[in-house]
Amino acid sequence: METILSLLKTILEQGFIYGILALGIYITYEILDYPDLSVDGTFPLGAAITVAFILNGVDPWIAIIISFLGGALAGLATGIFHVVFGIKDLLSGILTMTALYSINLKIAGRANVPITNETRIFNSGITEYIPESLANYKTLIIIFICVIIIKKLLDLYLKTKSGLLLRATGDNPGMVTLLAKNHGYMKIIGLMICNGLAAVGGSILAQQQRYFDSTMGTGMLVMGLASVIIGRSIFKKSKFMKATTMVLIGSVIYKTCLAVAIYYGVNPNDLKLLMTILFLIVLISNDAIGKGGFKKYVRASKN
Amino acid sequence: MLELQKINKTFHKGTVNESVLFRDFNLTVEKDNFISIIGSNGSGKSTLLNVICGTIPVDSGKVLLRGNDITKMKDFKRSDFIARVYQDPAKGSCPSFSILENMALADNKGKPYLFTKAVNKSKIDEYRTHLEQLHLGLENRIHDKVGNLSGGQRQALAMITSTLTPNDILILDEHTAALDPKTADNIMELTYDLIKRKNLTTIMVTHNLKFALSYGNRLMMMHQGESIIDVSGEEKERVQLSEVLERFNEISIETGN
Repeated sequence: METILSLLKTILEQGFIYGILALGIYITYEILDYPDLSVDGTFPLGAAITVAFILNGVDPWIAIIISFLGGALAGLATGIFHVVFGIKDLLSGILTMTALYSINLKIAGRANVPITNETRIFNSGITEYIPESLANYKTLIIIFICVIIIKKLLDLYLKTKSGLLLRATGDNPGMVTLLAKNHGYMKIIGLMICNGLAAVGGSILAQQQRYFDSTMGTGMLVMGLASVIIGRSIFKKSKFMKATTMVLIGSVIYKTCLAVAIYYGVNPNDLKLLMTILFLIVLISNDAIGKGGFKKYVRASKN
Repeated sequence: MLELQKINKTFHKGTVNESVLFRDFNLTVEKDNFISIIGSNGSGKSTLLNVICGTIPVDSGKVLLRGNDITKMKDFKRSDFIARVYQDPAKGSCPSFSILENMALADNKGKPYLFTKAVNKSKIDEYRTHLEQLHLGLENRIHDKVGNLSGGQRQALAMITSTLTPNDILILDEHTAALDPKTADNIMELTYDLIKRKNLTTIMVTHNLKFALSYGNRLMMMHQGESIIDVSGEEKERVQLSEVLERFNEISIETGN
């Protein structure tokens, strides 16, 4: 029982942290139909910024906000590569991701930086108000609060005029032109939000696991995409559930699959391989069922 | 209102496929003109619309709107003054949005899209009144996804949304061509209704000679980048379908179409 509970706790913690990243990917991939690989660089960027600022005594919450801005800036770069210079979507993301690998090392100082004894969001501020009986779940509670706030903000944004125009950009870019707005700018805004959220995910993960690791971004797009597709296809019939909720649950389900595999003895070194296989299963089964709106992704790669 | 001065446009310049379309092409559109443009494929009708809307650049010449030079202005900026409805009904609305969201989106044209609430509930009744004019029952389906509507319904909605905010010019780019004859008639009547009620200056490209003759106060026939018929007012009223058809056939034989 004890092990199951602690496993569940880990799954939820991880699922929600990576869920923030998945929310960002939901914007680029589902709303804008843009497979943005920059997240593989902006996720660790958030972690690098966070350890650098925390080690310099900056408040950990402020570090999260700075991470968001840093991620958004990287998203802006990807957007400019694509919209202004006309570089293909995938390649624009790869360029930013590659550049960020060096930039992240510069920011963090070296490839692996611990923040074991520093002030983090999990051992300061509002954690004092969490009752002693829930001390075991302190980390999970803080993560949950972060995720809910971010999800609510995103839901609110998508209902504003700017949010509606962003959705229109993915749905029918010609319509945005007819409305006298530049759909290229809207794409850039979407990329900025996505990468901002990816960096926030990285920032919170670094604070939870207490270190920055330069390779922690590898496979983030694959993982986030899998979460988006799992969540969206399982609940696609639901009329009352918001897309953002589906994505977060998708992320938890995805993490559950990984955790179960490791629990039954899969070598952690094979994790990325497992992630890819899991993603393929999700994508192909979605295609085989054939009802999902995600069919286009499989077909697109066949072309 | 709108003036094209000495427009030159050559496609595939410097290649074996080089083809000169416009050579010093001029056009003046007066306020409240409702011009119907006909012509065979490749006559320059669509290119003319694309030049006006800024979708393609011109080689030389000027495009003036209300006396302002807009030749260098980007297409999306021109949308501030120009409304356009395409042949493809899918181009005029967002399929995953509800009718209400599409109308709210279009209603904000000309204003910035910032962080205020997109759908203003107090405007629903106003939107319903607009939709009632279509007699398609869309006013009762205001929360339905536009992707579930038929082509005719989507085109009708596009006519409403594109004229929701004031524009200097309405461009109709074969907007009934993808519809069945009955629906095309309905959309054309609705179009005429809107144009009359809102006093819209309109340029309509159509392959439907009947529409071209019965609607509008000016008729143009394009051929190889030139306007070979341009009649308006009473003179236009006197033009017979047979005359136009005859001219059309002449041209077709000439060009081997």
